Amino acid sequence: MSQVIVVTSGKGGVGKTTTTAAIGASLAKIGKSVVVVDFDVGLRNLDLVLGAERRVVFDLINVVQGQANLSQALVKDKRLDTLWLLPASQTRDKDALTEGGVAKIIDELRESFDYVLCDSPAGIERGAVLAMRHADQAIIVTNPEVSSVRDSDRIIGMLDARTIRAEQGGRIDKHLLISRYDPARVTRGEMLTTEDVADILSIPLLGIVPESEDVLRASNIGMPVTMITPIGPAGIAYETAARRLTGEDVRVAVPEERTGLFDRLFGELGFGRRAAA
Amino acid sequence: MTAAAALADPETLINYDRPSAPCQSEAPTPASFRFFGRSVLAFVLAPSPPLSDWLSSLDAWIQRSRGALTGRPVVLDLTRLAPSEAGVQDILTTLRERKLRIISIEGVDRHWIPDDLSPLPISGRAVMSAITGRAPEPVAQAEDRAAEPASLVIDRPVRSGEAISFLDGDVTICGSVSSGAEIVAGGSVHVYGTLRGRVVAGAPDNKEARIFCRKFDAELLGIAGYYQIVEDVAPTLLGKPVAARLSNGAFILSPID
Repeated sequence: MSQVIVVTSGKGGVGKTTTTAAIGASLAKIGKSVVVVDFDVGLRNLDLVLGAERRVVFDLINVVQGQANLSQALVKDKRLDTLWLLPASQTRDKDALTEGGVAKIIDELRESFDYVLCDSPAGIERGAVLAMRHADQAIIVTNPEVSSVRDSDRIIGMLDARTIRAEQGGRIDKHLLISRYDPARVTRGEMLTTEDVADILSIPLLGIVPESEDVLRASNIGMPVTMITPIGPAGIAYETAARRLTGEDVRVAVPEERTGLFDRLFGELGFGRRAAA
Repeated sequence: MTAAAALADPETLINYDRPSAPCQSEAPTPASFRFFGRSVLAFVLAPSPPLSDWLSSLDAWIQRSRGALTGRPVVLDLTRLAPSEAGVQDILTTLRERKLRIISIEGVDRHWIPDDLSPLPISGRAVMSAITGRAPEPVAQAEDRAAEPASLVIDRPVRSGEAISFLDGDVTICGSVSSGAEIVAGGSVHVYGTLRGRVVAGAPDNKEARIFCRKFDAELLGIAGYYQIVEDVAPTLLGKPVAARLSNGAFILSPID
């Protein structure tokens, strides 16, 4: 049974697109058929993160307006056979999306894919509402800081009110994904702890992705962070999250501060990474 | 008008001159200040097509009941007439010639409403039909209200951006109230979770109302128009189970053991 999952946050820059690409690739790696849909019309980025920007011909808006059919607009990933992208338009704005058009596309995608991952634009306006409208599940991406947590809280309220499932009296499954988690800063009290975030948002935790250089490096070479080799800590966290999403019982790992021998020695002398940070 | 609306009303009086009354938490708390909410009875005129017929019956009615509408606030409901933008102006002019004091218009595109009229009053309750002068049956209504349970129980967290308003009685939340959420109750408010948002109890004028929460981290407390900013509350209460009540215009916050 096909699952439509919206990746959302309210706030911008917390890692929605990175998460969509990473989890989409992870699901494809374990053999699921996946389409990632970029709803960020006017500010599309998912094609870049997937390294597919030169193969985009038609986009979501073309399909909504009937200028192309779905199969013409879908872009297949070069590395994973079961991963597809439905790109957003970069030259149009969100007003070009219509409720009926989006409904038709999502229904068609449901027929062909195990997972439809919708990458929501930031904000709480029309674009974000259309992205969440048809979702069965939601991944709420949150950074461990107060403004991101409050915005996520607002989005959770909207998921419980504005989605079709909610309007029909049902509920949608909500998963918390904490990204850009920096254990050293949490230890120093500069970041909210996982417990704080989970307590405020009171939804089940899907995963904790540590702040990592891999994320930027992977984006720049057009790879989801779960596809690069060797896979880093952020990639591993996303892979675990994807497995949990499929219903597998995997424990959520809390990233720990890396304290190698050198860190410990120099840390005590005041030269360590922590002192330099 | 709800207390929440009163908060946003620029014409609401703010009395800064209250003498400071100490809060009985450990640190002295600066004075609370008071906002006033006010309900206004407005007549609603709902013209029906054809307008000329309606105007002549209005004129006849004014003739009979001279002065009944003079100076009284009137809300114009144009739903049935459905005029054009120019039509709205014409109707306003016509009615103003009859010395009617139109305060707002309902049932048309809000952008057509001239700036000198107040924004749409939201879902005011219909009290009586002004033209026929027929009053509703107040006795039956009072019985209905007494029969309603005067409490609202919410079995989920209240999220940022949500506003819950229940002026008929107590509100109980089985969950947390997030930062950026707002609860307005006519009676007391009970939060079986962490209170991080804003809570107004006893709206608009019930000084006996109280606020209880299992874990206190609120942004703002209000009871019967008195407000307490939580920055001024003793930090020792944060994260504790707390009860808040009003005594002579001062907030008393105490831990619940």
